[in-house]
Amino acid sequence: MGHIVKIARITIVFTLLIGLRAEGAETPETILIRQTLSADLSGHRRGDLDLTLSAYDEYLAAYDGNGSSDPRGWSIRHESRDALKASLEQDLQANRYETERTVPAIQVRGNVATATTIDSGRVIDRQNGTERTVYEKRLWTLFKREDRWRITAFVASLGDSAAPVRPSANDEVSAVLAREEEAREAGDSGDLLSLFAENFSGYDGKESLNPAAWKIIFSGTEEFEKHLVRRLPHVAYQVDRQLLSTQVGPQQREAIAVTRDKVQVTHERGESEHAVEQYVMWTLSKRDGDWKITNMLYNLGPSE
Amino acid sequence: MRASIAVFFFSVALSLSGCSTTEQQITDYVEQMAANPVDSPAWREAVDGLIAIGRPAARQLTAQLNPDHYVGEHYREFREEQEKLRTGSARVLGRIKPRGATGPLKDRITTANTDTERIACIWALGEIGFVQAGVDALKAQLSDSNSLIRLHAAIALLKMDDESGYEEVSTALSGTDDAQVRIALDGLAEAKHFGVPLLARTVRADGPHQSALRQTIDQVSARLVEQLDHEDPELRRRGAIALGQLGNAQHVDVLVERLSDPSNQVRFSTAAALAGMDQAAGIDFLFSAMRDADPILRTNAVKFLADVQKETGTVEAQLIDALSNSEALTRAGAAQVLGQARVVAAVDALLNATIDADAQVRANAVIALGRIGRAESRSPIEALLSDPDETVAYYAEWALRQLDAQQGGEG
Repeated sequence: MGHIVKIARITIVFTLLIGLRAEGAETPETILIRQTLSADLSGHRRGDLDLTLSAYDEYLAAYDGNGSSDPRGWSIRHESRDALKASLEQDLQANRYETERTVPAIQVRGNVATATTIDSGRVIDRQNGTERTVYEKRLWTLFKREDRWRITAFVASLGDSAAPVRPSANDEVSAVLAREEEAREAGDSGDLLSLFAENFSGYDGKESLNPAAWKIIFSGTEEFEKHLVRRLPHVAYQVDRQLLSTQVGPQQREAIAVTRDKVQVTHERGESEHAVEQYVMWTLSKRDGDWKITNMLYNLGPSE
Repeated sequence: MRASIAVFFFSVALSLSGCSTTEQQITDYVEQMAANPVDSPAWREAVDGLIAIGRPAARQLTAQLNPDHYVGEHYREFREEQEKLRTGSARVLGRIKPRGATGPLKDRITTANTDTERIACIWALGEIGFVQAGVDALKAQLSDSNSLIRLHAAIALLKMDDESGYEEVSTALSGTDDAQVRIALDGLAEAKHFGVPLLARTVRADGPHQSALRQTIDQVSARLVEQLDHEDPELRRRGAIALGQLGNAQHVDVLVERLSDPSNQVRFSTAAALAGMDQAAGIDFLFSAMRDADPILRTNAVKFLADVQKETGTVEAQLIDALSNSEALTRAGAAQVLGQARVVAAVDALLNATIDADAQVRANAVIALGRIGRAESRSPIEALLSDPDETVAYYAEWALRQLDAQQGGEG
């Protein structure tokens, strides 16, 4: 019996030590981000609309992954915080959430962060008591404003199923992406920057469809501008862009697009030419009358 | 007053513009590296330009090694561009040798990087020299599946005075892969005195590539001769030892000049090198020091003579003769050296020395006999148990214990 107690004690100490090691990766920012994600979850569990909404930024876009991690199959779910609020109001009145949330990955760069979560548990219909099992992977983007991290976008229902590509076109979105291509080729950083939203973020998809592998490369337009100032005097871009799919929300306020870009650069100071062919995901928002790019993800994983 | 203020502001402005000019030069060269194929003339020109700038470029170049550098302001979308920058930065850092670069360099020699990057970083680690973390990382590469990586790691280790990679370099030098032979020879040439033991061993082994090996030895010898005038006495000392290991008679004169070096260690190492080449100047220097009034010089002489005798055997006859020298200090020193070098041929002469009139000679002789451990020494040593000198009697007892232990071990 003494032996069993001893082994149990050692196991507990060992488990705690492993826990401490894992916690070693935490930073003050990731703790704050967990709090924001936790406010959303707690709001759902308590049926507290205000608590849930407190986690969300005033500018919000939500996408439906439709069971895939490939943005070519995503659609627009909510185009604003108000749309989310309306949907939540109904949802929380109708359903009781008994779910847990794990947060496998958080990445922070400046004022921009991404997180992936897995929600599991059950959702119970408050009227008839029927239960629905939940297992949902989500990708979140967050922005830090006045020392608080708030959710600026999420993609719900991510999964491993093949994306049903939804080829569609939108002239306005298509025009913005064409202008981006032209401005880049012209080396015009002013024109280029005018196409991006202030809180724009950029990612390197690492040729993966796993959102946890995507790396933040630009946190905000200011950083992107610094990059352009440094880069554009030394290289000339040639971009051949093919718009593969566009999804625009019913309110015409949010859009998501995927392009196939052949990018080639030549250098001012030498003979090398560098080229890459890549899928690029774009999200765009029309908040002040013009479409602006809110997210740009290079090197998106290949479509099978 | 006004004039001095004006001068002050002018100097500040001048120094600031100097900084920004250097910054701009670094930026331009970095862009030139990114814009040209590795090892192309333009790429090399950029590398050379950054080497000429030296330390002020080190921080920026060290940053270029890190994959996390290529985000945000420094984002570069092409992996090939990063490879050119990382490879070039490693080449420059290997030349300007900032110790702080070892950590970032060792992180880039793993299989997650391209072979070009790995080789450049391995080379730079070797050039920067011994840092334990670098040695550990390089040793791990000795089991890499790519023989080129193993060879470069072995050479870098050799430059850090670590012999773990000797076998890898020897294998390359005895093989038929011309590229690998060239890399090994270039590495040995760059390794200066660190590569000499392996060079000397390989050329004596009479394998293939003898003519190329001799050319490399000539190259290294020329650098070692220059090294003899280096301001750092340690480099002068290592240079003299290495020239002794190469054993080329044409370097005797420059070595003899070093016998009057201001550093004791350089003088003794040079004398030992000359003695190892059977040169009278070196042997005489050490024997003369062995009878010097200064006990430190005598201790040095004994140590170096023992080393020479162990490594080359060139001073054996002189040491045995010295046991019959008229000066007691010489006899005592010779007995000590013969014992430390365990010269079996000296046993008879040492047995004679056990009845020397000088107690120090008797004591050293009995210690030497204990070390050499021949059975025929037992009864003369036993006779010394009742020596009037306490020290001699004490060491006689000690020597008998040594004989017992050795004979017990043999039994």
